[in-house]
Amino acid sequence: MTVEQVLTPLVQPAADAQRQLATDDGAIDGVGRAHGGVQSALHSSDADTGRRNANLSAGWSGASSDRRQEEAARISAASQRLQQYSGDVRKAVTRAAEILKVGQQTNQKLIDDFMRKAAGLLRAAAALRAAGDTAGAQQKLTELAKLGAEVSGQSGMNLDSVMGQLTGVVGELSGTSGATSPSSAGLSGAPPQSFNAAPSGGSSSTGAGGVGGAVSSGAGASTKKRLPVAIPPQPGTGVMVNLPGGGQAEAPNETAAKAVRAALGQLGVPYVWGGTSPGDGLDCSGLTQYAYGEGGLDIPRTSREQDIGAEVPSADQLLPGDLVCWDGHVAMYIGDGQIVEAGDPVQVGPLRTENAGMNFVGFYRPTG
Amino acid sequence: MERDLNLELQRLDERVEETGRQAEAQQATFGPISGRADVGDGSISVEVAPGGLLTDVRLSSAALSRGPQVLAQQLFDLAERATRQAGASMHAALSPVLGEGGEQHLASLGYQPIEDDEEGEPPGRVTRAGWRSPR
Repeated sequence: MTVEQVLTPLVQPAADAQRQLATDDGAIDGVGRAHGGVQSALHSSDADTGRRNANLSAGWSGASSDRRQEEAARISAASQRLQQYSGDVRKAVTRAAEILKVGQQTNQKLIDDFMRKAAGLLRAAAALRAAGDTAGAQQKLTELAKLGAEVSGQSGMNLDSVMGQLTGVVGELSGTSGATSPSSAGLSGAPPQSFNAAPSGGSSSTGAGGVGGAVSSGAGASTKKRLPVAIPPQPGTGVMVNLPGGGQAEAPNETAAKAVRAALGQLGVPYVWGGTSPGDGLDCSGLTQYAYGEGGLDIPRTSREQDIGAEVPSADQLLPGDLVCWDGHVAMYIGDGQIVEAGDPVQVGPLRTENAGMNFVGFYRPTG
Repeated sequence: MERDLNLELQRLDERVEETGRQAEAQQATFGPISGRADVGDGSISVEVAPGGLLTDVRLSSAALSRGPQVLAQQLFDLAERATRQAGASMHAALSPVLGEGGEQHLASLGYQPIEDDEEGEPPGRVTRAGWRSPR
């Protein structure tokens, strides 16, 4: 079996992600030029309207003249709104391109790290086999397979993060807080909301430190919802859940307890990007959505939308069932300093707030 | 920027093959790698493959006269020492081939040099370890 045959299936998901994250710089420049054209055309139109209006009002008075003035003012306002919207589109496209580029750099680093580690493992395996240690060689290949699964999971989470951030950009452009409704470009009604949440300069931190690295993803779309603070449950109102290590923890209510039990019931299920099939394939938010669904509570589908209910102000106030939200990833606290999350596969691990360079959004109690 | 993953894989393939060839050359020069240890009077000796698989155990009647518990303990100790020797030999053979980055891959299998102060004596004395004489 050649190196290519061994490595191709392992690195393919990350390589596919890299293609999905590719930006079309020509198209982005095109949007910029189109915006320039819109601005220029509207500016001329506005100037013409103003000039004609001035000429008319010089020798015209009365109700018809007033209506004409109002009409001119309306056209001018609409023209300005259109100009602003065109500018917002251009900014949003630029912002989206930045998000894609950061995502691409993160993914690139995942591939580079994988290739470097894979080279070490494959060379070690070849040397061990040649020296007669087939068991040692086999162990190195097993490590390689594990590494491949990890990089696929991380690549999927990175894509999830990018998708979440892009959804945010589109949401802000269309003046909604998540769901996209692309119909707000009209001249009637309220002017389009300006996309001005991006940090000034808009340059995101590059460098993409990879998994566990403290890298700002530069997500301008990472806005935090203002939610009520979660109130600790009264004594005796909690519901006990059994934890994998044999311990127990007290969830604030039956819904949260059922959600924890359901999530723990999915341990070992493979990570599938966009996956919502319990027992078969789940992504991070697919797991939490399914788990709360089992508890009888419908929560939104994507990780970016699961910062709901009440905010838990600090880690020491977390209770089983609380969600740990990043800009592009979500995990569920289960108690005893542990979380369950759809990595690859669904697994339990210690509580953390960093995740592959994503922005940490906060802790949330959907039942709060 | 589209990277040429196939080209990278092809180059890696060549490097892996070259590593295998170099390791085979080491193997051909020195013969099979194993660890052997025996007690001072030669009444018990064991040989293991790298990783600790027992490949040979020899007992004399003098060894049997020591009683089952002592014998079991001595076999256990000898096997452990021989395993470390085999690992050290494996390290000596492959670390030049794998370079600095390969140390961790050898160490994770227990293949590392033996520190001088690890060379205790009883109950087993390491008589010969590492490379067996060429065939």
